[in-house]
Amino acid sequence: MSFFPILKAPNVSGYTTLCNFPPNNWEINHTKSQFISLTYMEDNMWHSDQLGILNSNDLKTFYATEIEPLIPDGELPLLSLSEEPLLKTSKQLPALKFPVTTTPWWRATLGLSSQFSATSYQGELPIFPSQGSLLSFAPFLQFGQTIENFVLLVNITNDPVHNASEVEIYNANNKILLGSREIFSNKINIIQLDDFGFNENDLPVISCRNMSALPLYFSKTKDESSMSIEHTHAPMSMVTHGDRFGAQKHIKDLWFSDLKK
Amino acid sequence: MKKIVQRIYKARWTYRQSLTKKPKNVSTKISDLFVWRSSSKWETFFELVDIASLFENKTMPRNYVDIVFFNSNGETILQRKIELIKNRRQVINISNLLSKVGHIEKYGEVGAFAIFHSNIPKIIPKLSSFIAERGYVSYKYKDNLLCSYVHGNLDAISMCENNINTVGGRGFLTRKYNLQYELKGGSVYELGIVNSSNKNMLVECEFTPINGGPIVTKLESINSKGVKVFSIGVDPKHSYRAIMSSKLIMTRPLVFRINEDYFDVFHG
Repeated sequence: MSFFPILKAPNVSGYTTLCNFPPNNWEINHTKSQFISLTYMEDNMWHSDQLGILNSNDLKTFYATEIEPLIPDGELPLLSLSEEPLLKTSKQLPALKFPVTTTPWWRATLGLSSQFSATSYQGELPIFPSQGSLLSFAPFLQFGQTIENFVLLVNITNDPVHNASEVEIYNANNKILLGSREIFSNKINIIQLDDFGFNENDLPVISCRNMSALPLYFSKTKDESSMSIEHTHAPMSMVTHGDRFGAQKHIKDLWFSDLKK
Repeated sequence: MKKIVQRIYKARWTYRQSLTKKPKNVSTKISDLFVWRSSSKWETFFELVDIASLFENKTMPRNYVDIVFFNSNGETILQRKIELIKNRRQVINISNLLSKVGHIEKYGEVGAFAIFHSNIPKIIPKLSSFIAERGYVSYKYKDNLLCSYVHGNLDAISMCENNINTVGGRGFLTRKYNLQYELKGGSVYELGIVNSSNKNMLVECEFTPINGGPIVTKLESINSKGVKVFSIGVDPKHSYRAIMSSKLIMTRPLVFRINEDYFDVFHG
């Protein structure tokens, strides 16, 4: 079960395009209209507002500028499609009656734009367990006086709370802690990466020992005329077939013990 | 009865038709087939990381990778060994490597490449797994200050004792891949498709209008390990969807969006 967040980053604006057609013609036969919902946190509850109906074969784009006024300041806007309307309030993220595909997963376009340019990727946001971890090796930093680099750590959990955790930023080569930042569950946590002294040969490591998150790396020129976004794979993607979770556990155990605070 | 019919229907698409084939030899290395573009407008880079060293913290002999380049027809045009630097970032200028063999004159401006790691950490065969390179490619367009990054996402090709084979699956029936993306007006879109199967594939790309404009259909034959680019310039008043049809299990395109002042690259 996946939601589609509307992203945010400094001096640019998020947008999300939902599609009501499956990504292939052979895994499922889906021709139903679906309810579009906006889910957000308020007063330690999940609230879901219906934004309309998306007919089969249609697409619709939602912009942060139109959605943010509908939710409390700073909360994460989560869009979803469901064949049945969602409960207006719930203590857990609402269950979606949403068609599932895996080759590929049913996705939306998640993007950031400015007056001059735009960047996007095809994605979805899974619900993370309340206890998880993050280890991301991130060779995405771009360098230049007019360039800025950020990591957007996006987390959603079933429970409508903002639990705090600590993200640590290391250099993979010497495993020296370069800094740490507080992050929260059910948020888009924005960390500028230009402040840690990385050079072009450094491999940054972003680590969190007790919270999972989707790590999105966003670079832009300071005038927002050019931008790029991409996420790192989970460590299990360095292998294929067999016990991929075992491989991920091996890497995480090794690096979490080596990365000294 | 309904369930039996459903299972038979599904089996037409799934029986002996996996997305990727599992290698038999444990020393096999896997890679995506990444797209290179190299011309007066495009440059391609690869973010090389020593994957094996991420699994083992002891001092190891220097590892290396074999980078194998293919032209758009899937023919091998270049193979290079590159030494890896443990726990560091190495940006490989793919366009520079290709320029040494005069790629534009001989091989055109687009093709594929694969990266095979020499060292397999001991833990990986114990887990019945294979080391896989699905890393990060960046593209630079004209004089843009930024590169646009995109990750690999498919087990496409394998190397075992210098034998290179595709591992992408193919089906019995033609199947559709519906790109869940709106091709908005005012941009040129170039969709790169790689053939990761071991047979020549016919691929049709239908650009279907959402908001005005004619249907545009393009058909290409793509050799094994080859690449073809399907392009459309979308009028500012119109928008489109893209639907790929072929016998590949997943005809997922790499999408290049090109505007007058900026560009973006992402996977379908």
